[in-house]
Amino acid sequence: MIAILLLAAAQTAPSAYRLRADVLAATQAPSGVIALSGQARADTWVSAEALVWAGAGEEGELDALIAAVKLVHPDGLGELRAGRLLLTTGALRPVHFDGVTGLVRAPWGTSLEAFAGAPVVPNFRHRGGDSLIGARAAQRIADLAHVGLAVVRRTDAGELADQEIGLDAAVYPIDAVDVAVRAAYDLVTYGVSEASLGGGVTLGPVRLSGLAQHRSPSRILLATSVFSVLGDVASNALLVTADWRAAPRLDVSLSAGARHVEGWGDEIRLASTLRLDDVGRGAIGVVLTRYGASDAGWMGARVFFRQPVVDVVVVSVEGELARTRDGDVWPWALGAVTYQFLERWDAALAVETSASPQYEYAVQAIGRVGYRWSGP
Amino acid sequence: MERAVKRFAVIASSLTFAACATLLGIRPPSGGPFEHRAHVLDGIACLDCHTSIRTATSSAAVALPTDRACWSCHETPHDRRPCLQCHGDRDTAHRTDLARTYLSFDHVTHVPRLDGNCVRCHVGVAEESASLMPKMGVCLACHAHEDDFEVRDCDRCHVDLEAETVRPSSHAVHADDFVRQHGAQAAASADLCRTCHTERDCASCHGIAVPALPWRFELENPRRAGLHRAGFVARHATEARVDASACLSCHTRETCQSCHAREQVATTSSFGSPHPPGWVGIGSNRHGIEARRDPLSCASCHGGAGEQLCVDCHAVGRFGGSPHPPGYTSSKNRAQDVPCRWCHAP
Repeated sequence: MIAILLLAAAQTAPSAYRLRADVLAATQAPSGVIALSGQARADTWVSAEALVWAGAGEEGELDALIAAVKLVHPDGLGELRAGRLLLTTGALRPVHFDGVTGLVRAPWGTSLEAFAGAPVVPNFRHRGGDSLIGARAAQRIADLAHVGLAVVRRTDAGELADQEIGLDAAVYPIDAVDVAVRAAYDLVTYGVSEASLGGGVTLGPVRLSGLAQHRSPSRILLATSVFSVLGDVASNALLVTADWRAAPRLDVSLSAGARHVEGWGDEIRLASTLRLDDVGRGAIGVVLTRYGASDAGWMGARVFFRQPVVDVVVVSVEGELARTRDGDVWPWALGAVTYQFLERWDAALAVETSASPQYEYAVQAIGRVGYRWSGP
Repeated sequence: MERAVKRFAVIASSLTFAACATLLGIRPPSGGPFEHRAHVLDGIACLDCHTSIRTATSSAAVALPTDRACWSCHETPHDRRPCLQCHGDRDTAHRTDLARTYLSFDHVTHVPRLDGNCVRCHVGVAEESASLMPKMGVCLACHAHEDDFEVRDCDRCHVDLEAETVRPSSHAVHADDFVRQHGAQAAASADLCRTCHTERDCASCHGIAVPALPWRFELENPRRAGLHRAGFVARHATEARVDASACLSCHTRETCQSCHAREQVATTSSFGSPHPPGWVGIGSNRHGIEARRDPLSCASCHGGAGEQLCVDCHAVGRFGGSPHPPGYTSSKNRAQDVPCRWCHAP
């Protein structure tokens, strides 16, 4: 249906469609994937978007990541989306679902959103009794803040799986400062399932940001699981990040934080990217990471390099070396060449090699051929 | 000899500094912004120099004045070099070229409407600013473009937003660590996110039908570093152990289950129990603590029908005792609802 709509839109609308087909094949397994993606607008208020794929490996698979039609009021007073969507609204956790969502905006800044459908089951399988229904009301306060309240009810095979109420707010008193908060309260096993407070301030080439987060794993699980009734060891984390544009082509980012899950853990990350041209088609980067809790964790380094050799050929190399607290070392590397040809075609070939707890070493080649067209 | 060494050191350091500066994108100050204001005050209209603007379509060449246009007034040039090499910011031509590539804009329709009043959009002229390209807010000040923005009709101006690497200045929030911070911001401003991002962008992580697919295609783009890039497969068990709740934010138990089954990792009894000694027993009993810490890991193998394993020991009256924490309450009916009834129903 979506493909027909995309094609119909392509026929009727000037300069309003963009389509892409990709074929990906890997030697390990071996497996292959064909993906078709596109978006189109029939006129100023109808648009559609889709990404469908078919895979071949030990088992054949066919699925859609997104297949949605969107109707938007020309003056922005409301919109309606239907199909396979990613529902992201307020403090509710994003849900991949098949259904309908409608949004109405009033000129004075109030908006009301309602949605109904069923959570996605992979491979187009249908499960009777699955449902997702909810709503969100939000208010814009001048151009300084947003506040919203959302509620969701989800069933799994007819049984109550999730019932949550979520509060979200964002304040941006001046251009350089923004603060956002969200909290979801579990109405099945009463308690805060997830909450976060984030904010940032931009001071010239430096942005300082902070994030405080609380997550309760048993409340995030669907309430139809027996593992949702055990209580849990909640995760609490605090992270501070400084991003600095040190030179026109050089970015540096430093994050440091602490996490408490049973015991204390730390998290430190230093990343730097040097763009090799003004647009950033070529770049060199390094990321140093230390991530852990009281009894587990890893530290490592990742480097990458990407550079157009000529206009149509780009080479990239990427590598990572991670060392776990147990002393295991897991290397990983990928080298790739991309070639753009005949205006609309591009092809990439990569060799990936790694060692992991599963394989002493693994080498695989990955190839991709893509074709894109838009128009008219 | 000593003098030669010093000279060599000075030359070598200068070259090194110059090379570093070039690499970092640091450019020596140019002649400064072009003296637009002085020209305007002298009564020279913009269109006197930017003559090709009148007919400039979105695919036309960039309408910077030629040397010949300058010579029409400055009859005796003081220099043989191109005028714009010194007069005007050196990046102007480059920035204009980028705009020509990524923006669908033609002067030919705008100039007549503004009756030649270019400063209404190019406000930087009055301030002798280095950048004269109007900011997006200036475009949105017109009703037609305000409507485009309201309905997120970006394609009307932006030819290819995905490929356009020059982002609006307000997108500083998309820094390196943004992937972990975006949740709180997107909660209140999802509408704003949709200005640029499509459903596919969100589904790339949060969708459950092969979520990583769009990223997997980008073999050659290491800068698009998602949470699961590089050697994540090797270290995912460690990361899940550090903070299992982070996995739960996007994944369901089927995510672990399907992959472990495909890769034959601890899925059948033929591999034996993956648990260490003392996992379940009377003297040493670690499994309850671990299940509270990382319920997803348990559910990834023991979920669904496998949960009966828990019920066998922990049902009311059985020797496993109550698995609930102190003060546990639930809105569910324990005799009728799943999973309560498995243990509590008579």
